[in-house]
Amino acid sequence: MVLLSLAAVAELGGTVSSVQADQQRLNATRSVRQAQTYTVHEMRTPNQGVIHEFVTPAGKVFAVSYRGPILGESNALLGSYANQLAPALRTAHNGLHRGGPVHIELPGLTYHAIGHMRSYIVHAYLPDNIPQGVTAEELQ
Amino acid sequence: MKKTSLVKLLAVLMSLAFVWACGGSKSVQNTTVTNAANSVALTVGPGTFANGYSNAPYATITICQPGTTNCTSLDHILIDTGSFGLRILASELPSGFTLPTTASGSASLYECLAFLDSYTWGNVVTGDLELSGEKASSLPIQLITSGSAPTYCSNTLATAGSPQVDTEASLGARGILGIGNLLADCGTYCTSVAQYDMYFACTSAAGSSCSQVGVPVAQQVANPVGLFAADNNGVVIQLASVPEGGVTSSSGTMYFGIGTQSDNTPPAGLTVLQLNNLLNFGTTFQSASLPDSFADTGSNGLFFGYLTNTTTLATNDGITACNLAASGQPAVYFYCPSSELSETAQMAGGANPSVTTTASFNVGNANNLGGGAISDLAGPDTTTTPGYNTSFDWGLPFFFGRTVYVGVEGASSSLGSGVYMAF
Repeated sequence: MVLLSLAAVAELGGTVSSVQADQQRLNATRSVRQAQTYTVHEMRTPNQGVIHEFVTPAGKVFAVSYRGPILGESNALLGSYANQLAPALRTAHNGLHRGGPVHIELPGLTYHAIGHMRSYIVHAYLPDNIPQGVTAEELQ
Repeated sequence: MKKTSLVKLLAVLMSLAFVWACGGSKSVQNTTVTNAANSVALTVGPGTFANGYSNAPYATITICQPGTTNCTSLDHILIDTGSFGLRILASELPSGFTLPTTASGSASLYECLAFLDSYTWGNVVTGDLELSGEKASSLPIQLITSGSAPTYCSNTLATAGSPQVDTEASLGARGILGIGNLLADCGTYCTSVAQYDMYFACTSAAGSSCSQVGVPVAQQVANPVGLFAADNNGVVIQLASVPEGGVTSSSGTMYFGIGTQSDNTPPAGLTVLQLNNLLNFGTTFQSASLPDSFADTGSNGLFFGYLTNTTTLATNDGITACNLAASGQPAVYFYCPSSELSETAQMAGGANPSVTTTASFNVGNANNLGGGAISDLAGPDTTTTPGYNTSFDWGLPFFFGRTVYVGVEGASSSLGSGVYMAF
C-alpha cells in the first residue's frame, strides 16, 4: 500500500482531515494531484477499481467518481448522501426505462450511474460546493 | 395492430405498481424440445402478464431437481447479456417444487446481488437447467426471495435505499438468465470474505442471522453455458428486424455454442470486438469518445449523450429529449425528435482498438413509440455533466436484425478467444 503524507479523503461531503476511512475500507493505493482550485485524490483498489475524490481548498469532498467492477466500492463513496437517493431510485426502477443508466438530480446532489455486472461507472457531486470557476466536466 | 404508447404503458405500470400481476403457466412437466437441440426461441414483447415493458427478450427454461426428471418450466425469463447467472423468483416455482439450498458449513448460502437501481436477495440453490437439448447439471441459481436482507446488503452492497426486487411486477420477468461474457457473477473476489463480497452464510431465513462468507467460484451463481458438455464457448443472439415505431411483439433465437454446429457457425467477415478489462468496447458518436460502451440485451433502449439543459431538454447531440415521468416524479428521459433520425456511430474493440466498424441506428420520438418491440427507442445517458458521458449503452434495439456472437471467458472459437462481441 502506498501511503502519502497527506491525510486521506473521506466520502462525499466529508472532510479531508477525517480518518483515512475510504482508503482503508477499500484497501486502496492513493495518489494526489493538485488542480488549480481543488485537489484530486486518486485511489486504486485491488480489484481494478479507480476512484477519484475531489476536495475543495477548505478540505471538503465535493465530488466522487468510480470506475470498476464492484458496485459496493462506489456506494462507499456516497456517505450519508446515499440515503437521499432512495426515493428517486425507487421511481427510477419503474419499468419504463430498464437496465439503462440512472441519473438523479436533487437539490444539492447530482448522481449518475451506468454499466453492467462487473463494470460500473458512477459519479456524484454536490453542485453547491463546486469551487468557483470549476466546471462539472472536469470532475471525471 | 393497436399500439400502446409508452406514456400509456407508464400509466398502467404506475397503477399496477403494488398489484401482484401474474399470468401464464406454472406447471411440473417433462421437457418439450421444439427447437434445434442447441437453441431456444426468444420472444420480445410484454407477453402474457400485465407488467410487461418494451424491449424485453424472454425465453422459456426448464429446471429440474438435480439428477431427477422432476422438472418445471418457467416462461418469461429475461435473457440478459449484461449479467451472469440464473436468478428466478421463488414465488414462481410451483407449490411443492423445491431445489436444494447450497450449504455453507452448517448454514445456508445466500446472495445479495446489487443492480444499478435495485437489488435481489435469496438463497443459492442448485438445479439442472435444461435449455432445449442443452443441460447444465447442478447449476448454482439464486432463488430470489422477499425475505428481509441483511442491512449490509441493502445499505452497503446495494446503493442504500434502492428497492428490493422480489416480485414479477418489480422484476418485469419471472427470472433473469445472465448469459454474458463471464461464467460466474462475482469470481475470485468473492472466494474470500472481501469487503464487498456478496455471498452470505445464514443460519435462518432472518437477514440478521447472516454473515459474509467466501465461496469457491464453482459454487457461485453461474452462467450455464460454462456447464454445458458441448456448445460451451458462447451464445448467439439472433433477433428479427423490427420496423420504426414499434410492433406488439417480435421473435428470435438464442443458439448455444459458436462454430460448434451448423446453425451457430459464424459467416466470414464479422467484426469481432474484443472487450477490455471492464468488458467494454469503444464507441465514437458525433465527436464524443465513449470508451465504456457495451451491448446489453437487458437495457431496453439505446442510451447515449447527455442533456445540456434539463429545463429546455436540449442535448449535446442535438436530439431533443423529453421527460416521460409522471407529474411530480423524478425525471425519466428519452429522446423525442420531431422526426425520425438516422444516426451512425463508430465502434472499436476494447482490447483491439484497431478493429472498427460503423453501426447505424434510428432514433424515434418516444412519445409516439409503442409496443413490446421498438427498434428506435433511445434516451440520454446522463444529464448536465459532459465529463460523465463515457458510455454508449447499446441496448436491445442494437440486437434487432442482427446476429450477435457473445464469447465467454476461457473459451475460444473461430472468432477468437476470451471475451468478445461479434456481429
